[in-house]
Amino acid sequence: MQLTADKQFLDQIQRIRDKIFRVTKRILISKEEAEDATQDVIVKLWQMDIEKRKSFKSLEAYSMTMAKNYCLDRLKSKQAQVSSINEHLYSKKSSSLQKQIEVVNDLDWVAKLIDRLPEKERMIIQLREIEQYEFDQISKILGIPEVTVRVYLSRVRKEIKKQFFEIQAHGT
Amino acid sequence: MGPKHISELLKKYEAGETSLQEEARLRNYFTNTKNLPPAWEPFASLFGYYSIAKTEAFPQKQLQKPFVFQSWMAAAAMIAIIVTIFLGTKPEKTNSKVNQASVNLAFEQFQSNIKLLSTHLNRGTQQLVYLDYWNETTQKLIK
Repeated sequence: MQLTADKQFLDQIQRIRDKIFRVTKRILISKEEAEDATQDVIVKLWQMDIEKRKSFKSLEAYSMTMAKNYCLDRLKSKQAQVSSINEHLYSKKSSSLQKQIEVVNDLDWVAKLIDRLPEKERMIIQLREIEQYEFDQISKILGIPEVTVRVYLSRVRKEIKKQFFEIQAHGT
Repeated sequence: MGPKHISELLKKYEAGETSLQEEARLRNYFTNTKNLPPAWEPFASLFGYYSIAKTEAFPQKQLQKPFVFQSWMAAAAMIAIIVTIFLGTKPEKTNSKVNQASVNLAFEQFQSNIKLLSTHLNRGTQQLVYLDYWNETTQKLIK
């Protein structure tokens, strides 16, 4: 009984894990931190009481909320700030000509542009444009009304379009 | 699906009013249509990025294979031990004749050294008799 429940959970997690990783990476920007965050969220889910886990309507939505809260806490903590600054410096140092050429790629420009947005907007873009969640799911994950999600999304879409079209117009 | 329909969808999209199905249609159009109107070309990159970003997977860490002890390794270890024992003992036997004289000399020296040491040791023990006196008197005093 316990064994089948564990196996079921592992199967579910297998499917959700990549999504958790992408969302945490979008919020934390750092790949390494996102890996840690994903592991931690999965461990927390794993240690949870089975009955409690079963009571969720959607384990996926619940783990997304957990991942989001986890990342926001992490962003708030000083530790994350320090390491992200380090990483920023490091990435600046190591940006060779090769890397700069890579960034000129249009898709990389889009990625860069999104990562420069405030974290709430990053989350909305990630959840809607990339993970393709319905508005009610996003509203539950972020804990804001559906209408607000739509308003934010509309604003971010326009902002991204504006910025990216400007980049394109400058011939980069 | 004509450009007119797409431009209507884009308006809805920017207002945050498109459904997931409609957004999929936009993604599909912009990533698969060649010769887009120049004004729409940036959308190809935008939607292209969104579809590619969805494929990013959690990096599977390369786990190191745990060391598995095979039976042939045990045999190899045994052979290695036996070989080292043989190699280690053989030279001693062949050298023993050659070094016999020096070994005898060393033994004699050792013997005389031990004799010398023992006489000095005994000299020391003679003095220990006084310790007994010391013991007796202190016992008396304590009583």
